[in-house]
Amino acid sequence: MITQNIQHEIRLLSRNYWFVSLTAVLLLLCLYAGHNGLQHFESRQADLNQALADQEEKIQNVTSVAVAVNNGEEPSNAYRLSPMNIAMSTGELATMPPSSMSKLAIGQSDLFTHQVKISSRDDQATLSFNELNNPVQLLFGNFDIAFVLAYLVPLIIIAFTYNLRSQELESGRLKLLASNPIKTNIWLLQRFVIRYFSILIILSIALLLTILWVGIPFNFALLTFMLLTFAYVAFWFGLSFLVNIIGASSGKNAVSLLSLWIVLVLILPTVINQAANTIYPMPSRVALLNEIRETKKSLSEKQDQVLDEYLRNHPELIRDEGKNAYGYWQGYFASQELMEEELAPLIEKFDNQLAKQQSWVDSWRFLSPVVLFQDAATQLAGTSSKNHKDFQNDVKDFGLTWRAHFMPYVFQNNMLKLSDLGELPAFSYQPKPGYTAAYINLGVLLLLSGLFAIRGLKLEGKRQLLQVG
Amino acid sequence: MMLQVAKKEIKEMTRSGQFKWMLGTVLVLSLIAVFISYNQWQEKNLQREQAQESARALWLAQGSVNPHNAAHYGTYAFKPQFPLSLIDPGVEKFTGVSIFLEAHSRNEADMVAAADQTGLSRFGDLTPDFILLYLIPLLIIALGFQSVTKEKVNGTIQIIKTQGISNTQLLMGKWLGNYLPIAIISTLLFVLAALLIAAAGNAFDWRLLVTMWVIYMVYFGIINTITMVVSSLASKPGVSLVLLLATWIVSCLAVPKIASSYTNEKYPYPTRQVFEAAVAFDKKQGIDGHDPWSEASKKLEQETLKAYNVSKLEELPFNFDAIRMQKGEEHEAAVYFKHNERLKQINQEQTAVYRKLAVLSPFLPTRFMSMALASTDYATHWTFSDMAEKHRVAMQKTLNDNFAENSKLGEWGYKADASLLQEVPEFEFEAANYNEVMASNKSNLFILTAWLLLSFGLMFFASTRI
Repeated sequence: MITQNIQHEIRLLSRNYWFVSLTAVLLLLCLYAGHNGLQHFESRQADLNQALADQEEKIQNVTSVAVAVNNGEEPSNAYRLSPMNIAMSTGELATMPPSSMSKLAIGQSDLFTHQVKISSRDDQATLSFNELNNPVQLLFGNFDIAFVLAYLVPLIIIAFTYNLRSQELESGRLKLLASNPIKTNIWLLQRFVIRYFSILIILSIALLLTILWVGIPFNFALLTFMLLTFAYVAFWFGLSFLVNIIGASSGKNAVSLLSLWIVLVLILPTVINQAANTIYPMPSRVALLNEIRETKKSLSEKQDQVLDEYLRNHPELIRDEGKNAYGYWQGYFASQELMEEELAPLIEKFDNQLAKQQSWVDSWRFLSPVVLFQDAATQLAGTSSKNHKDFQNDVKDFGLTWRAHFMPYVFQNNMLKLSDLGELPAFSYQPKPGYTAAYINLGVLLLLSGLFAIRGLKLEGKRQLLQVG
Repeated sequence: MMLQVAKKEIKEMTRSGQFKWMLGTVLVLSLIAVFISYNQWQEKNLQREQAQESARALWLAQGSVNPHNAAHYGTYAFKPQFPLSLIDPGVEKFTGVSIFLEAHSRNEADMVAAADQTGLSRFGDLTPDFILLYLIPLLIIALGFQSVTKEKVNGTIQIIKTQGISNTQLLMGKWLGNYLPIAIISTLLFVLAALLIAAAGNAFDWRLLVTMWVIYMVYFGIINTITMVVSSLASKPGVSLVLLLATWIVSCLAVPKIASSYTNEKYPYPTRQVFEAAVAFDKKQGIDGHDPWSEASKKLEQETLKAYNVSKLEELPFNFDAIRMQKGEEHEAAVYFKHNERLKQINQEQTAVYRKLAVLSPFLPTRFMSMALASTDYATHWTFSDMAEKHRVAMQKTLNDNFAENSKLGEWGYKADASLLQEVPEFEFEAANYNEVMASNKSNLFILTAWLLLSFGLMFFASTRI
């Protein structure tokens, strides 16, 4: 009976243009979305290369001066080897290179910058990580693969499964079926499973073609992404199965499933987000600005005292002999560090609040499959908020390392030598792929679809069948 | 006849449990959205007011100070929160609200709210505009997708026709029956928001609010008409629903995203890094107020000496250091102007694409009009940025002029009277007024009207096919 069912179902599918139209639609959507992802990746890559080349040029300029000094010459631009010039003007370029997986999910990468010039002139407190962009574009978001999978695929699933049982009920065939030695619920589950795998095959083909075209290497992250997609699709099939068993008519099934889509995909994410913002509101950034200024002002008023205090904390930098050529800068850096210390608790408030928001969102994400999917997909692509926060924290930490590296030069009135240039600290961003979160989300999606299926199987379908008939 | 049909539709709606649930849900969500937005909106109003006051206080507290030190100390320009942002916060989340005004550089607006939120913020916020733009159209579709189809499926259409009603009358009746409940709910939403704004003591141009209300009513009208058209042409309710939903997704989700991806591909902004590097490069080509040895400075020196017919800078009737700084300031301002004009140019090209693509979906012109009327669109942000820059340039001139007139060459220790700080006015920003908004959004208005006419045209066509 099972093989007969499967044969019947496949024949049904292949004869009503189901395969053809679905393949065409999914392929077109995936290719177009893939194109946008690729475009975004390429422009990010090009910007990165440009920035790296510019930075390289700066370093070359400084190096050539150092080489000249090393050869005993006295070039007019020898000032370039001063610790201030290298710490501030030359600086270091911190970059967050795009991962090839980012072609699938653009995520937050259009909001934040990926190349930050580290300069000891900048205050850690006011370092901005926002990219120059048209806010309308951020408001609308991007048409990427993640959007197609998260928003559109569920609707396609709904459109192709909402009446799998009710249609038979309405045409009277279900009674005929029920008179056979087969449980109608099992029969329906078979239909769903067959359709699930059909969509899986079509979707895999569409995705693989897109992936081949945009060029993403086959690795663990990609495999996880595919499994996540399959789990997400399974969730919607499970939900539709349950609705099919409970629902009485095709029209009602369609309305119920679409309402569920609207609530789960459209409304719940905004509610969770709004709740996070309301329960853990951000302190006022504008008020912070004025705090920073007041702190700066009071520190600059007691500049001499500041330097004394700083040197008390850094006795290794005290020098008795000779006059201090960089007197101004010593005070500058000293007050910078003191200011950071004073402002740290204020800045921390923002980070803490954001962390609380994130953990709120993390714990409520299980309410909405789309949040689970989006969260895992962007983490795999390295474009989630968490990835960017990691990068930003790395940049801030490195900023401190960078400045500390130059302090001995500043306080000992030394210029940098050629050999010193090779020893400058270098920034590197280590992406932390969120496999754990991805597999948790994937597992939850699968679990939910399993639960839907079991619940559906246990519901008595026949009684309702008799009532309606 | 038409009114009777409408009456029957509404009566049916009030009797159906499913519809009551849907209407109720949307109503509750609207109320939550308005009240949450109202709280956040008031909080932000308060924060900005306080920040503005304390920024001004800090500026004045400098007392007797060297004008150039004051220029470096700087102050802030804050973008006020406009009353109607309660209904439509537009792109506010993605644009900064404050600009640091200091000597030598034009800063970008900072404090971007979206950067302080989790990735979930990209799904949108539960604000009144979200309800109006996304949910109410869905409600219209849910209420009306089978309005004509079910009469066909049940065969009741024949009975109705025997009553001597024309197809046009029938459709208009159905249209009205589906539209009125929606219109009432959304009007209530607007009235509530208006009352809250007025209660908070914010004066605003009522024409902006009324026009915004009209725009949304037209938007709902278009969607309602399309719903009726599909409902009349579809053979089964299921088909009608799927078609309408596909239309909704394409117009409200897909087209805006396609527009944004396409626009960005065609007219990309430079990265901040590139932009700043280009500015820095151009700045170096001209005079630097702090560098008396550069070629440009020497040239200015010669020219000034010649003009005043003296041989030494000391003999000039003013402090040349300050003049050099002012000239440097002017050069830098010109560089910033040039590069920002270029950005604006890109933005205008992007806007033109958005406007053209608005033909594809009534969502886009509505979205843009709504933001523009609420003064929360990108154009307002540009105006704010430009006004702040203008203020900055004027502020630098006041300070440098005072420096030049009251001190001698090399007198860097000069301190101006504290009253100089008062001469720099507080930054005030007014958004575009009603007429300006309407004038700059002609194409959106035009496209929206065209959509309305087209959809009604389609409905009359559909009435011949029932």
